[in-house]
Parts: sequence; structure tokens; C-alpha cells
Amino acid sequence: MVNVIWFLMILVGILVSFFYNPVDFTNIIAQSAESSVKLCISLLGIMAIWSGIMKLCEKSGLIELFYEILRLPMKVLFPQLENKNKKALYFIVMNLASNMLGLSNAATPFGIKAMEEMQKINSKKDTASDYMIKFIIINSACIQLIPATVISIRANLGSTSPSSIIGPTIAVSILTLLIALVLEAIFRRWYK
Amino acid sequence: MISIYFVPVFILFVLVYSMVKGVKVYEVFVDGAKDGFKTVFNIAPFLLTMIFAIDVFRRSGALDLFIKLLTPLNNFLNIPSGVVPMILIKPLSGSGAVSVMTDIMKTYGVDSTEGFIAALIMGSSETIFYTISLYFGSIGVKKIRHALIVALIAHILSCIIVCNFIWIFR
Repeated sequence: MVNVIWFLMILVGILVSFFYNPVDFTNIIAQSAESSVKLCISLLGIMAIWSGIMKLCEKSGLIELFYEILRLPMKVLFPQLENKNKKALYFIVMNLASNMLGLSNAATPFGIKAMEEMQKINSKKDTASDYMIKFIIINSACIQLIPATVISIRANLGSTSPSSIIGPTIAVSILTLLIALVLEAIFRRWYK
Repeated sequence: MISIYFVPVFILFVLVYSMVKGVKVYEVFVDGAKDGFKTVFNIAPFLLTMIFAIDVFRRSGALDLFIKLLTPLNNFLNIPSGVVPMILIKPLSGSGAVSVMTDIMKTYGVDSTEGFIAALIMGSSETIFYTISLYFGSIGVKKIRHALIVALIAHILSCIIVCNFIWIFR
């Protein structure tokens, strides 16, 4: 799947530029590589700091405390995972909570840790498990209580009420999440 | 402005709680930071590979052509032509989506229907390609099954619903 999409993006990109819109590819490649490395370097620092804080949450038992708050919805979304690997659920909760609060830098280390824990109980190591897919799909709906970037851009551009976007954004996120969960249940049968 | 106070209060809470529980805060933090560095090194090749394809697709003009080709379909689905770039860019690139959203708001007005829809799309869906290459890349999963297709279809369906029933959300 990723193989095909990745291949098509580059194939179509290069073909379009040949026949339609000549561009300087050497330049695009150089800038793309540079921007990726810049992204990784900026990730290094912030990921290290949030991973440090994450480790503290883990060692102090704080994540178990947070987990208790969200235990019920988690049991519904990830059936049986509690018995198989409880730690995975702790990290899933921390990831979702950080995302909801708009701390996407904090969410990433928790999310990766959650994936690592789910990988431990995955029978086929090169294939995504049902739990992983559900986790990714919940993440893709991007539920956040305060979309800070959007609000600040709206304010900058002179919106009459920049923060009036909060309620509708949450509503649309929940809508996306529900659609995604229904689709996941349908598609699961075809992608064994 | 909760977010300004939230981060320091959260960090303080974690540190105080850890101290009370007798955790060696400094050493544990360093340990975590080590993990953070390792993680970034693990995911770096995946990010670079995905961003490379996205950049080629966007900057070659393929994305713009794609948007033009989709125009009849968008008219049929009642999607304002101004927001089509937003729907297509959001799953691919976070920074790209910010600049497209800002463009739409400047062109149509920040409180216009187009501007409002763009803001909703920005806040209600994730940069799916990034998330998937990051999370699956970090643990070495290559067969992602239906993760990408479900996330993409859900994103597009939700955008179509938002465009057609925008009066509910305003």
C-alpha cells in the first residue's frame, strides 16, 4: 500500500513536470532533503525533553493514575488489550490526552512507546495489528480541545471571533472519528 | 490562554509527584532523553523518504493538476472550489496545510464560508502520511493493512459532510 502510493507520488510528480510544468528538480530534491533534516534536528531536542518527562510519568506511576480516569472508553475501544499488555494502554491514554491538550510534541513519544508496547504482543512483527490500526485511526481524527494554531492565525487575520472555531472543530473531529471507526470495522475483513 | 499555563503546571506536577514518590528525577529524565534521541534516529529515514515523495508531488505541480482534474467532481459534491487544496494537502503536510489555510483566509476572508471550512479541516484531521510513517516506521512495521485507506476515506467523507452541512457547524 505505502509502496504503491509512494511510487505513484514520485512517478506522477516527475511526469507532470516533464509534460506540463518544467521545474528544477535538483533544487526540489536538495530543499526537500534539507527540510527533512531540519525537521529531525528540531525534533531531537523537543523529543528528548518530552521523553524525559514521559519517563518520569512512567517511573512515578503517574500514567496509571491518568489511565484510571479514561479506563472505560479505552476498554471499549481496545477490547482485551488490558489483559494482554496494560502498559500499551497507559501510553495510549497519555498520547490521546497530550493530543487533546494540543501538546503534539509530548504526544509523539507517548505514541511511539504505545506502538512499541503493542508490537510486543503482535504475532506478525512486520504487519500492523488490529490494535495499532485502531490507535492510528483514532489519532488521525486529531481530537483537540483547543486548536491553538488555527485560533492564532484567525486572530492575526482579523476574525471577529477567533475562538468560535473551538466547538465546531471538536464536533467535526468526533464526526471524523466515528466515520473512521465504522470504516475500520468494515475494512478489517478485507485486510487480514 | 489555558495552554500558556498548562505546560509549566503539567511539568511542575510531574516533577513534584515524582519527587514525592521517591523517583530520582534527574537520572530518570536523562534516561528518557536518551530514548528520545534514539527514537528520532529511528524515524529519521522514514520521515525523509515520505517528505521527499510529498515534496516531489507538490512542487512539480502534480498536486495543482490533480486539483484541476477534480473540479467537476467537486461541483457535484458541492465542495467550494477554494477549499479543495486544503482537503488534499492536509493529509500530506502540516506546514503546507497552514500556508494553504492562510491563503484561503486571505483570498476569501477569514470569516467567510471558505475560511471557516479551511479552519475546521485544519483542526479536525491529522497529517496522516506523517503519522503513519512515523509510528509504523519506529517499530519496523511494513504492512500497514487498511490504516492509510481508512484514515484517508474518513478525512474525505468528513470534509464532504462539513462542506454540505456547514450551516450546522457555524
